[in-house]
Amino acid sequence: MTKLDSSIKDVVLAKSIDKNVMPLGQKLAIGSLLLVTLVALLAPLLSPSNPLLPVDQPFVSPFSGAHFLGTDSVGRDELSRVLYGIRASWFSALAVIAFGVIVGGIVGLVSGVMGGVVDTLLMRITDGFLAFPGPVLAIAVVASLGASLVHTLIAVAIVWWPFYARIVRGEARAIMSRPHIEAARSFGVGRFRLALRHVSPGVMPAVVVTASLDIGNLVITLAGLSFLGLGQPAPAPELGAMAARNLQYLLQEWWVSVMPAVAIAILAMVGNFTGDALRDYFEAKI
Amino acid sequence: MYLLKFIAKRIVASVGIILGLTAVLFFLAAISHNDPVHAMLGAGATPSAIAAERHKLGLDNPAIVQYFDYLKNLLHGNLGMSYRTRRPVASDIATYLPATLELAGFALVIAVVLGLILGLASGGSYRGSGVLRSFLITGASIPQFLLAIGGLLFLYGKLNLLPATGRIGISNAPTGPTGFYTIDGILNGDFGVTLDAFKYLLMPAISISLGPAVSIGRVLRGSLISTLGSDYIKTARSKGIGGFRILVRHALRNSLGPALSMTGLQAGLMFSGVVVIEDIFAWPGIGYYTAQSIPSGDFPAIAGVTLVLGVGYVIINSLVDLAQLLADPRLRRLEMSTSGVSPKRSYGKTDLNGSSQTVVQLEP
Amino acid sequence: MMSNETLAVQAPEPVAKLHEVRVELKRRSRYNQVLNGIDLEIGRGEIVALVGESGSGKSVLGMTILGLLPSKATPKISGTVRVLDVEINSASEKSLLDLRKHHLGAVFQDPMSSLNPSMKILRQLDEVTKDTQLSTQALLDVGITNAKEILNRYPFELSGGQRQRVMIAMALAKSPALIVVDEPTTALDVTVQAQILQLIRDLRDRIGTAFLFVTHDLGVASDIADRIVVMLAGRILESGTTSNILRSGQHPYTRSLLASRITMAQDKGDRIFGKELPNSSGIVNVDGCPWVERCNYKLDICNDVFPDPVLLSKDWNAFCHNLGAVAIQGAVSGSNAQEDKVVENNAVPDLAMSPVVLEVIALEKVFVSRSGSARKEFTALKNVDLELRKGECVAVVGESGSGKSTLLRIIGGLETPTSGEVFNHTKIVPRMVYQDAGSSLTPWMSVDELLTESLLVTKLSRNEVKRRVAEVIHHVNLPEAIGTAKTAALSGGQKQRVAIARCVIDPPTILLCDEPTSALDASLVGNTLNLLNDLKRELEMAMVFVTHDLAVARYIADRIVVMYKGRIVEVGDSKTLCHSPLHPYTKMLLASLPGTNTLGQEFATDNRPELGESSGCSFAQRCGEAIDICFTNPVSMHYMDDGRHASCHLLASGGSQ
Repeated sequence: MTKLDSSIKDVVLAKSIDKNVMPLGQKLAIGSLLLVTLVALLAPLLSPSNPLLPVDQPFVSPFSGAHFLGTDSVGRDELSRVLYGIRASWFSALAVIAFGVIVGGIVGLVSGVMGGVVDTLLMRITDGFLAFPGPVLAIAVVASLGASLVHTLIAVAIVWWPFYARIVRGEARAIMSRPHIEAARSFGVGRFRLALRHVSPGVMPAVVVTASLDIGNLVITLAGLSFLGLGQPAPAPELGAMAARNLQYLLQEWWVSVMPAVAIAILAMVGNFTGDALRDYFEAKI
Repeated sequence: MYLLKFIAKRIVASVGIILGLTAVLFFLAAISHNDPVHAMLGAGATPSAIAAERHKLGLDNPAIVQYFDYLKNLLHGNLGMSYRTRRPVASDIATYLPATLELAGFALVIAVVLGLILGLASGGSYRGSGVLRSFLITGASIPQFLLAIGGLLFLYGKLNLLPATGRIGISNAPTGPTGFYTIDGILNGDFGVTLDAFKYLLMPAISISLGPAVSIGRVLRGSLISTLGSDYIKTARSKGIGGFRILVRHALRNSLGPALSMTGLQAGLMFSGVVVIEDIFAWPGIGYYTAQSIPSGDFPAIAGVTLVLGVGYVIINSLVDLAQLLADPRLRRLEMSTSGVSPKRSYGKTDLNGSSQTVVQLEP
Repeated sequence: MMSNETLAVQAPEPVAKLHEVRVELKRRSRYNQVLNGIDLEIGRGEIVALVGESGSGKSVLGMTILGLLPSKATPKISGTVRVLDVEINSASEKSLLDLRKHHLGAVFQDPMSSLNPSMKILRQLDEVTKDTQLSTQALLDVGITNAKEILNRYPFELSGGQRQRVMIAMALAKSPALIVVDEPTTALDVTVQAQILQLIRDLRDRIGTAFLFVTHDLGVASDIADRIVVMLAGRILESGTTSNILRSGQHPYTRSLLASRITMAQDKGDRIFGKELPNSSGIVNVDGCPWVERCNYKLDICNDVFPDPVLLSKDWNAFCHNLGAVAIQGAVSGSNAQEDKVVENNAVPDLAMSPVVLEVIALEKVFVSRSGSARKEFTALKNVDLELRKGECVAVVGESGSGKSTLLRIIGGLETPTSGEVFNHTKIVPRMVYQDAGSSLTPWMSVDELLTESLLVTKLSRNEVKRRVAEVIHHVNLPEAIGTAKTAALSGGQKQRVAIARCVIDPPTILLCDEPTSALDASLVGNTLNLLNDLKRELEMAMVFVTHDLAVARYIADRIVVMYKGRIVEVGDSKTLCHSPLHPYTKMLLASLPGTNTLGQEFATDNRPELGESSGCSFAQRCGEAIDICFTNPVSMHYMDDGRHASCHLLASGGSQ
């Protein structure tokens, strides 16, 4: 038995070492996600000036002296506005995702674990939502409720959670059909414990990957709505609206429109690269 | 036979979805912060005039009656009056729709073709496919309006290669029968028109389609890679079939499913992209119309466009499902004998995916 | 055909020749030495069996010869791999393609996934033959009689046996010089396996194609091969003619493989030899002998130096430093080389006196599937009776689709019968050991948590639960430290023990086992059966053991129940049933057992058109001894004097025996 003893330790040890090996690219991607979150959190500290007040001449060129990203049409510091815009965009996207993961996750988990009539009913509803063109419906919702960031977030959250319900339900069904569930049931494990301990940990990788890949989609979609004037009203620093409202100056003072748009692209990129890295990570673990 | 049955089923489902959409839009209209009567009569209307207008519009009826009135109107092609243009929304949309259809159709074709190419190119494992993969991820992260702005800056502002706004530069261009300038030009034998319309189309279409193309490409790449790792690809390689032939004849067809689903999904995102892009390029389509209607809170116009795009979305997704059905014979059988075996357990060792419950696998 | 004949003139040069082949594959950005100095020759028309456990590198060797190592693993190959006149590791892509197109074939393990699901058979075959006429002929050659019909089907419309025949037809259609077959019968039923093995031998005799037959099953290898090559951890440890290896394998590893086999000759009183694999984490002793840690004959040198081959006779090599000692020891402990043999005083309790714990009466189970408006019914169980006494083990044997697992699931309360009754006289819920122990354990839960969970219903105090968990871990011979490990991190054998521990932590009166050994490597099967036997005796459990393997059934069970298409066809004391079977189906199962060397016997093929449910015996269509009455009249049980019974018309007319 001594031989077996040492071998167990070897196995456990070998696996745990394996788990910690993560390629540099994946570490970088996840690091960038944390960095952006930090920047968004600390935007008020990082901004050189108040984003709402003019501080200089209008249209000061970027990368020149006092204003790294120049100033806009009324002389507000572009860098400060972009930083505040990043803060709004990033946390808006995270909020919608959190809502989607929680609501969609619960619906999907209940649907997947219960099966039968409950499953059919919940999925009919979910599919009904998915059958609508989400972003377009969001325009209609905001148009009805009136333009404001909160309304936009509500509208997008309403059309967004069904994706998560579908994914979680699909994963949960797949796990439910695996032998370990039947085994657990035959040992008298109840539904609640089954969902909590035997199913949901298995769903997590798919949810984490989807959620991080979704950051990019959401940042872009929210920016699009803001671009159309469906976000916060005028002076507020919002990336999409900043790009839209300064289009008229595009050919001369290009940076006023381009900088916020580039900021959006960077946010989306961070989300997408992280999602991809996480997917590779989980795939390698299997 | 199964095809007819499938189509019939899809039509029934589509009608249900569109009915659902009308219910949602009706509800949104009812809770709209813009009261239609105020919007129609202006701020200085007398209470009696407001009451009379309410009665005329049927707004004093119970909600359910109002909804059926709304449906009846829809059947007659009446989408209500636009607050902004003071014209029937239906006729506004009829004016703007061809431009949008031309743009969206063109963009969809670019998205699918480019997506296929990107997916196939990055699906193989060779030197440089990793770089292409990074390119795909970057491409998926660029918002459509950044592409549009960039395009305007360089192709119009710096190089002056392509026009910036509008649909066509030739005045009195021949119109009809289709309303698509590129096609009408050919039909009328005036290729100058087609060429000119094409120039105007290029930038907006590419701005809209690049994101969806990259998404389709990424999904196709993923499913191609998993297909290429499957046993039957190993079999095909053992038969001495060349790499390209394997990719196209064996792997592609079995990998199309997820890419097709993604195409359907992207259609929805493309529609919202159409609104933004038409706004930037002043493309006279329903997206531009919507963008114009948003600041003035013109809800009937927005609802009308939403309904039209919703129908378009349902049609595209039905076509996508049909394509999936045709691509995969297993789905066809599933369609013929729905639901299959009791969900808990299938007979014997096979399930419908054709996979089996074997345990030993290729080591390591 | 032409190319093959011209090549044949140049014989006796081997089809494939490997010298000092080393292969490293990248996995999770780390290279592993998968093959380590392989020397191998495959002669023309020779069937070479490559035998090894999972992880031995046997499949990789097959893929190396085909030039098909996955490029994702960026393989590093050194040494020479010559197939015909092509140097595999330096050849151009073009010449490799040509080689595979004309001279090589392959058949893989899983017939379900090895054919393109969206292509009709015709098109897949035509890719090889380029001609429909030849494709049809290729199918006829592998014993598919309704070839025209099969050609127009998709793979998912065929049975497993048919698909594997199609795979073989595809590999053979170009009359290649060598076909690599990788576990071609592992996913198939035993009777189908016997047919496929038969087919491969026939084709070799007819066409002269050489086969490299990769398998984990020494029994299968002994049935089919001219020569057996034993592999472990990327090394060849012994190679020789089939009879040499089987009768007197010399390498300690070969001996342990032979000893851990469960054959019909296995004495029921003996414990089966078995050695736990130390681990499979990929940390392999690269320089020394891979068997050294488990070897009873090891010398110091074994740790550091892999031995040169010792030529025992022509074509018979063993790679061992200490063969002399092995030979002496082997002679002492008998020809079976049962190194750890412990003769148990397996006093069979008088089961007839034990109380009945479980009665199954007239059980029926019908699965209903709806296809549109039409209902399809599938009868999984028909009129099944069973009786189980305290301390008794009953094995239920049958092929897939026989209803054996459904019966077990109904007894376990996991499925409800359509009609009939199950009386559990003990009122304690039976526990179930699943086929694949690994997948029956929730991978992200710790061993402690899983075991504790089984005691939730008992409402024991926390300390008591802790004590019981520690106790059961000890009981199934697992180290205490394992409690905190996640089940996904365990080895196959450990998982199986945890699964069993979970069943017996709250000791049931009835233990249900659903093929608990079919997913395990040969060396682990013995351990598991020994453990189950011990627990059964110590805890006085009754056991229902479902298996497709009559040899395993015979070893573990007191009584055997043979099922076919939902019906019980024969019941009897396990020794007697295996020694003198009553039912033709039981005879067929016995004859199909790998390692019994009864090939040549004709089996009815599985691609006869289904006649549907006739009123007669359901086995009549496949029965070699069927008489007219079998097709028309329903059968009933015939009871023999010694308590055996079987349902066969021949018994009534006295035709069998």
